[in-house]
Amino acid sequence: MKSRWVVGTGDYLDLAYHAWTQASATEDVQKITVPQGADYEFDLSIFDTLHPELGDVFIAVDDRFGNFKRMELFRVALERGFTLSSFVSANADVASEAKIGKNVFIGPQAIIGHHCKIEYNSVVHAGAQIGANSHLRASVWIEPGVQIGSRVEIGTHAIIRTGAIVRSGIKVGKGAELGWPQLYSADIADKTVYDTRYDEPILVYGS
Amino acid sequence: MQSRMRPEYYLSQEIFEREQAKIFRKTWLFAGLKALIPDHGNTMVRMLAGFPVTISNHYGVFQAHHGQEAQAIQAVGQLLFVNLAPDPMPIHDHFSPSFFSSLESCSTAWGSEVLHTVWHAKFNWKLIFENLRDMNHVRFLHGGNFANYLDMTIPVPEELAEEAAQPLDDTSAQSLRAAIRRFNWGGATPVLIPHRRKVPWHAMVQPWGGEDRYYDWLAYPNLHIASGNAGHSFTLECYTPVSPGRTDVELFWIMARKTQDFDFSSQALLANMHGSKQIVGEDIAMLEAVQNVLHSRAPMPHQGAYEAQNRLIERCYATLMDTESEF
Repeated sequence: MKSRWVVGTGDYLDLAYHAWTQASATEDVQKITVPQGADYEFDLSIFDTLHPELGDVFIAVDDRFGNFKRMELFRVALERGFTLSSFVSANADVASEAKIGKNVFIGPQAIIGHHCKIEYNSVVHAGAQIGANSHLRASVWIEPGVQIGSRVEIGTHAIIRTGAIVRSGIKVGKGAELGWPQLYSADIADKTVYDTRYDEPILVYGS
Repeated sequence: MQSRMRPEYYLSQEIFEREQAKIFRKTWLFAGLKALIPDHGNTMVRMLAGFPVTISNHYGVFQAHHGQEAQAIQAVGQLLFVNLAPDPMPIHDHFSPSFFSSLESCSTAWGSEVLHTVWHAKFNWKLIFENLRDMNHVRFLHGGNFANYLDMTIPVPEELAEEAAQPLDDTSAQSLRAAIRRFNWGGATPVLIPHRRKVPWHAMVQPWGGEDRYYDWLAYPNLHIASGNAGHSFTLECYTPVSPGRTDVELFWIMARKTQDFDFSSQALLANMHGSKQIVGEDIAMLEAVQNVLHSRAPMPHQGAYEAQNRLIERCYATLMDTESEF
């Protein structure tokens, strides 16, 4: 029996592992936690015990560090020759024309409209709605219940948190975080962070 | 020792307006960073002493205007300072040459990426400066985090405590300017960072200072700069009085200049900002609680010798508020 290694850390690893377990009766699904040191670096030695010909990998790290930590493990797995399939819940409503990249997770009751493009390593949690012709670039994180209109572009590494509604036609910049539960009706600049702990958005100047 | 600070200094609208006129429209105020307007034609509007001041980059020369009227502006490394007085004091009357050089040196070592946000705090602006100059506050307010990481106990010389107990005899402008120069200090503190958490991006920047120390600058009346990770990144806090009981606390985070390109630098700074949100949030919660119980007949607090720096400022402040003396 081929193995399905769900590799990562935290609650999202647990969620993804159970989703794969329920969906894959013909695979040996295993949960593999990758430890992080005090410097937040991953201990990658676990990959030395896995072989691409014996199974596939799914990387499950949450939105920590702006989704960069998930991207880091994704790249490691890719470089080591693993196949990184996507998980699409049987209870999600995904338009047949939608394009889904590698290592994407689409949870139950999520709705992906026609001609949407979900790039690699992105996560669309349960109940999120992505309007038609929207484009999620790589390593995006969409929390449960988020509503995204049609023709929305979401930049790489962006995070859209529960309660956010993104109006049709809006561009959300790369690395932006929409954490205030509100309607976003204007374009969001790259790396702008709306965090409920703060009175005003966090803006980033320069690079 | 009894404090010189009467409750109305923190509560009175009349005092607030006098502060704006006699301190904030007379001294050099932190007005932003060059990195916020890096190119010719870039502008930003800053609220300084209650006025909207437009700061612009004109082919690399920085200009400040209130309406059509040009204001004095001085770049110190990355930092921009503005003076709104019709006849502004020379910046070295406000900042000593050594303080000026230290600010210039450290801020010149900064990169060009800046994170910025604002908290709308409900306390008088002076409370946060008093808090920062009382290093004992760290172990009382930040016992769960910062105090475990750094020993911020800094001894106060006895002669300073003795001097601070005396009245300010000479209240001439020259004397007051000499006094204010002493309110600004900065650079390496005696505080060592024994177990600095090393994260991968630290190896990708050129840290300022060269030692595992806590770096700290205070520029009266509106700027605090600190680096709790040995000069790898810096937080700037700018305090803008809005009313007697309201202060906008602006927070900037900036990294030492990168030695190699990496695409997650804003996330590293964001993690720093979230950390400081917790620490400064503890300060703000306490200061708001203090402001909340202040009333016109509140008893005058007593101070210890460790508050000598605050007492030096307070005697100068009280002179400005209670007499016709000016900078």
